[in-house]
Amino acid sequence: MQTEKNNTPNFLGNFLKKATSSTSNGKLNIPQLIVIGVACLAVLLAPTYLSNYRLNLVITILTSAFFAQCWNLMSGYTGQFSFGHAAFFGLGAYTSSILYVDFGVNPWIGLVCGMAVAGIVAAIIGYLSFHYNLKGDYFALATMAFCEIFRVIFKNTDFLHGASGVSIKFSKDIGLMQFGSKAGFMYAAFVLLALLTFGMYKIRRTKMGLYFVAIRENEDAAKALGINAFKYKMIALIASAMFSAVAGTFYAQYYLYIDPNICFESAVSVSSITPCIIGGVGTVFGPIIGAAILEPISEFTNAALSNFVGLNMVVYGLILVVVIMVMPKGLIGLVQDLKVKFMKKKKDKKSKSPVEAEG
Amino acid sequence: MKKRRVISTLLAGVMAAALMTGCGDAAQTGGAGTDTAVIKIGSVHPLTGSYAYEAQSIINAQKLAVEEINAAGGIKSMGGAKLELVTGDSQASADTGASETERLIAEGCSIVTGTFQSGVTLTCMQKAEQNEVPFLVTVSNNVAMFENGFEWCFRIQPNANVFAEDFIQYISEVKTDDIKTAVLIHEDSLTGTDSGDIISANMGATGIELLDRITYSASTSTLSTEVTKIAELKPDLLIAIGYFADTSLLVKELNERGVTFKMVCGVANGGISDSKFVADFGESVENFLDLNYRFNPNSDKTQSLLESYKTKFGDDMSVHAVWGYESIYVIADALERAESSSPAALRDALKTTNIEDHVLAQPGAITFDEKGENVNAAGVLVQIQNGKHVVVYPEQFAEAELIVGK
Repeated sequence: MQTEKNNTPNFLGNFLKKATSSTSNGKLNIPQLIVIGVACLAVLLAPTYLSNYRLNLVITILTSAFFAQCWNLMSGYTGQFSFGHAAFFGLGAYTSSILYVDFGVNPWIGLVCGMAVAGIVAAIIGYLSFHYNLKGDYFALATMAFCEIFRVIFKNTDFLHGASGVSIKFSKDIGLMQFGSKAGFMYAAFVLLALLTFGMYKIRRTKMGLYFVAIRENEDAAKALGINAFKYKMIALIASAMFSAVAGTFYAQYYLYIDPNICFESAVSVSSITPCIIGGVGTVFGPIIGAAILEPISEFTNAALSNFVGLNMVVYGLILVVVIMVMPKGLIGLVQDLKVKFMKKKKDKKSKSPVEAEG
Repeated sequence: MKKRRVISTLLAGVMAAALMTGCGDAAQTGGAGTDTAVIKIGSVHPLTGSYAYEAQSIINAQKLAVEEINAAGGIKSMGGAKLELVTGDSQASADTGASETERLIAEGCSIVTGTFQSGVTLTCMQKAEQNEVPFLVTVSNNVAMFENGFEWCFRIQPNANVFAEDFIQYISEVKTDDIKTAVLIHEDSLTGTDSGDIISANMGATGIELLDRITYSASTSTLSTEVTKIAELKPDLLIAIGYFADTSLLVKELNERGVTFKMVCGVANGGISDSKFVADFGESVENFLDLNYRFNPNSDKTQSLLESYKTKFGDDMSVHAVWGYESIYVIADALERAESSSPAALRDALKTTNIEDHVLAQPGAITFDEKGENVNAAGVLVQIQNGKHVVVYPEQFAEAELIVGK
């Protein structure tokens, strides 16, 4: 152990080394807890130092991270790549909104109903896909197709408001799941994300979490070891769908207007995936890091380049391309790869140094 | 020491990002509600994506109006305060539109205008309501969005109900006796469905029998089944509601099969009312009709506007752009009366708007009802004659005689 007194850079180095060390086996170490604590504190205190407009960005980051975390639960952990999470998002948004607007049901109850609807639909989709052994690209295509089916159904059913969509009246009543201020929405989003992430962290080290990973790494081998792959894939899908429905309800309550395109477009499904890819698929904090990188970039390019039509998208696209080229395994993957390289170098150096000393 | 370099790069990146955020916040201290020499007007439109051309034409017209007003001495009641247009790109997406609205409000805009697409407009309106900043719709015709009891939102253009009702009225007045049957074909999004519902419910009043109502998705790549159905039904009148691309597809497939009608009429049709559409199809769309919003062709003011737009931007002013232009004049008029750029004062002034001198083809002044809709908004029948769009009905705005059945 280095002491702080005789070598400050090394203390910092140790801190960073520990903070970036793999979290895939073992608990969080102290530096990591400190980083998480500081991040949480920064978010919790945000309303005191950020303008309403900046809070909007924080809310976007938190909700986008939450939705990505939902996708991560299923596609990241069990490796069943979904391209249709918009379906569950949309079902959540629609269930609570229609129950509220047409039947006067409180959105908090609507939220639970939305989770139930999304869960049931996920069970049906999951049963059909997994029972007939759809895997990889085929499963992804199936989820995309289901999502498109919902878009067409919602667009053409009068009972579901058809193409006109549903608009929710603005109120400041927390009982109606509208939190009056930006800060209220931000805390709600923070709590949702924190709870889900905590769950994701905990589940990793349970039997179920290990089964998930086993299925992802090699489903046939996992089956051979007696893991009921069908069951665990279903659990992951249903849980993921239910949380996605929460994201949907939250979206509807925040933006107060939904229509079939807003909810079921493939862009929505993509938005659940990109933060994971940037941050690191299948890692606990990947979706959060990804969202915290992506959303500000997109917001910044929009604002800074608003006088040059289209340039914002070009710059955003370029940044994405570069990010994916430099770190195909996401930011977390990149940091870990670099560390492995560094450690190897250090080892080589150590084994070489006596020779050098001799020479 | 590669690791340290990577880490320091990362740290530098984080710090740079933090600095940018800080600067952004500092730049916003102007804040809405203070009377400054520059009054900011926000404009959110889909500058990228499939509606980029239309969006750009609306913004061009807004810029033109801002320049005219500033050149004429700005807002006189506020000591000649100048207007400034601040644009945002909705990227044709509802949540981007909403966050752009938030940004423009944070940058100190006293009012926001937009957005060409009903779904996006509604989300932006919700954000404006929440921030208590007025929102003036440039183009979006969905009816339901003004049924929410909004208090900060206004719209000059006719909504889908007005279009459909005017269509029913005008068609019953101008139709000849040999037009007995009709088929309605429309795209299935908000725009098409709204008008389609009203037309199919009220076709009885025109004395024309509606044989069928056919819907399709605007993003479709073929309309051959739909065209087959139309060819079998052989209606005298074809009513088409759609955007540019899908209407072009429809006409192309109708032409290929040689299907013709005594009358073709669009309702706020993005194709028929577009000059590019005429250039693409030439003779085959001659005498097509469209019920749409339009500038008043018989006013001198419009003629000089069309000329100055063309000189400035080297392009014909589109029908949509007129609404961008007029929106700025409505705002300037309200500012003049409010003598303040505070959002609340501006909203109250907008409520008592009464503009007689405008460039729109509508009978009477621009005034808003309690919902925020323009009371006198109306559509006109436009016909393609000799490759040009001319207003043919009602007579007050007509430039030429209506031609029925070639």
